[in-house]
Amino acid sequence: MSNHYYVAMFIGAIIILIVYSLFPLYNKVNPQLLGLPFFYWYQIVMLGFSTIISLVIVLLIKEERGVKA
Amino acid sequence: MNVDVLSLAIFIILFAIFAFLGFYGSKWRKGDLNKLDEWGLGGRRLGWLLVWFLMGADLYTAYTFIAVPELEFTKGAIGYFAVPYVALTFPIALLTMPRLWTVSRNKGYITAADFVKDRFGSKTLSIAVAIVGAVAELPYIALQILGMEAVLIVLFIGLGLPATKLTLDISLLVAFIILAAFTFTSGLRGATLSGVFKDILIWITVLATIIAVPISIGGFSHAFTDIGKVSYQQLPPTLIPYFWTLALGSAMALYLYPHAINGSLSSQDKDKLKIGTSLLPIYGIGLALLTLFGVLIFAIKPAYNLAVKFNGLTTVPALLAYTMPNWFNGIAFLGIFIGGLVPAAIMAIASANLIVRNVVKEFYNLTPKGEATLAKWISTAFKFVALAFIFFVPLSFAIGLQLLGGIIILQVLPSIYLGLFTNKLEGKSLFAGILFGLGSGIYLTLVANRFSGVSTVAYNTPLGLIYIGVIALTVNLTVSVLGTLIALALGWRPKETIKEEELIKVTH
Repeated sequence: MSNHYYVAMFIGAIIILIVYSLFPLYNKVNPQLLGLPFFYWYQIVMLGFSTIISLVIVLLIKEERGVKA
Repeated sequence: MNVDVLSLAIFIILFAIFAFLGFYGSKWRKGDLNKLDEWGLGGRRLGWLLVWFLMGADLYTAYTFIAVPELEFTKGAIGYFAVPYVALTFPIALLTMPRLWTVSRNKGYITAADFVKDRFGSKTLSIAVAIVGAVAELPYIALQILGMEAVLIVLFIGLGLPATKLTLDISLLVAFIILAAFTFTSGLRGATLSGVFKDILIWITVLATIIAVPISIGGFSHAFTDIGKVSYQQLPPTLIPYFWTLALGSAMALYLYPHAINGSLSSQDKDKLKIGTSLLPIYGIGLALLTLFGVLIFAIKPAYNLAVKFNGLTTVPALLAYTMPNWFNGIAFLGIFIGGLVPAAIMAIASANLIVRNVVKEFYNLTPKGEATLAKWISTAFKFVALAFIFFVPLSFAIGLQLLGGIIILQVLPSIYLGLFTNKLEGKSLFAGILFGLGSGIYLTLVANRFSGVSTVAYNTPLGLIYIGVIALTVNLTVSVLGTLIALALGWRPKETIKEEELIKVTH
């Protein structure tokens, strides 16, 4: 697969998967935010991070580039 | 409890507006509704904002309002698997749906089964993909009905009416007839337009409540202290494999569902589809906040009691009823109620498209008009089959319905997702993979539940509890690959029926 868009999106998906697989990092109570354990607010914040990754890839890397038509 | 006649009046007025929008949908951006892709794909003319709303309507369902908060309420932190599920779903969609959209535009496909038939040259496989897709929607539609029921229960109790099985069933039936009527006349257009209305109500509800309730009870920490269990503050380490496989399995599953594929294909162009899809995790923030209702409710005793009485099903409406003003609850309840209705309509439309195009048409010749008419009738029938599902399949938790659907739908992953990237899989092997995947999934579910009512979708392995959908998919993939290797050894060679550029560029 020589298409930049799909390669980038695949890497993006892996990064997001890793972010949510780091249980030793985020599966804990402190530090809290507004009384919310870290376990919860880390996951919410990472939703924003995931959106930015996808959006940046979509906006910057066009699929047609790298296609031999 | 702040649910009274005023709440009911607002509920009814908003429902009337909603129904009007559903019917008006048939006149909006007029197309010939006697054609299947006009009725079922909105004429493929939706821009990115409408794609965002329509796909959001698929995600923001009773699953979000009822099932996930119920899981959080009854089981604690494991309920938050829904957050990584949402985060992972959209990158997977962005890897697959643009290719499916493009090849469908180039080749005139309406369903994923159309694509599978062409790609692997197997009618049997495409019929199997269509049937699996339609069947997997049934428990998902059933979940929407449960969600609507949860709202009606709290509404009835607030009005001092008896919330008996009879009164609930009658009101559900009325709601369903209205839904069926407007789906029948407006198709996907009606669902999209009313979906926008629904989403606006829901955003108002979620944001107002998530700000007001923590302030009134003195912060989240108060609720967590009232629960007093560690398993609500963080995930017990033994549940990590279950949490992880639930998130991953659900994320892989969502865009295999016919309704999600239908939504993607209704986009006007590929860039609009991509932008709309990449912004969808924003909906996930609403889901993450709603899930916390399952925690907040512990701090409000009467609401807690009402939720316990119905095993957590009524968590969100009960919390609203005891914390928000009566007029607000009219809005919020209607939002949650149609939050079940709209997705149920979209799911039924998608299933009907599949059954007509990829099963019935394989055996009978249909005119375009006959095709659309039959799809409308099947979509109507489908809703009632789902209703029956609730009555006959004993279930002890709402989210189990969606996760059961996941076990089923994951079995078409090799044919659809992998098919979008390679033709080097053999049709009969993929079909065998589906059969083995379904067989192992159903068998493990029965064993895990000791052959009685479905109360879990986890199987205990040496690695800990694992979501059965992921195990069944592994079986399926193994069979598909081994079968293909055997076919290759026997002289089978892949055929290039679809060129790589047809998956990437609109060629005409």
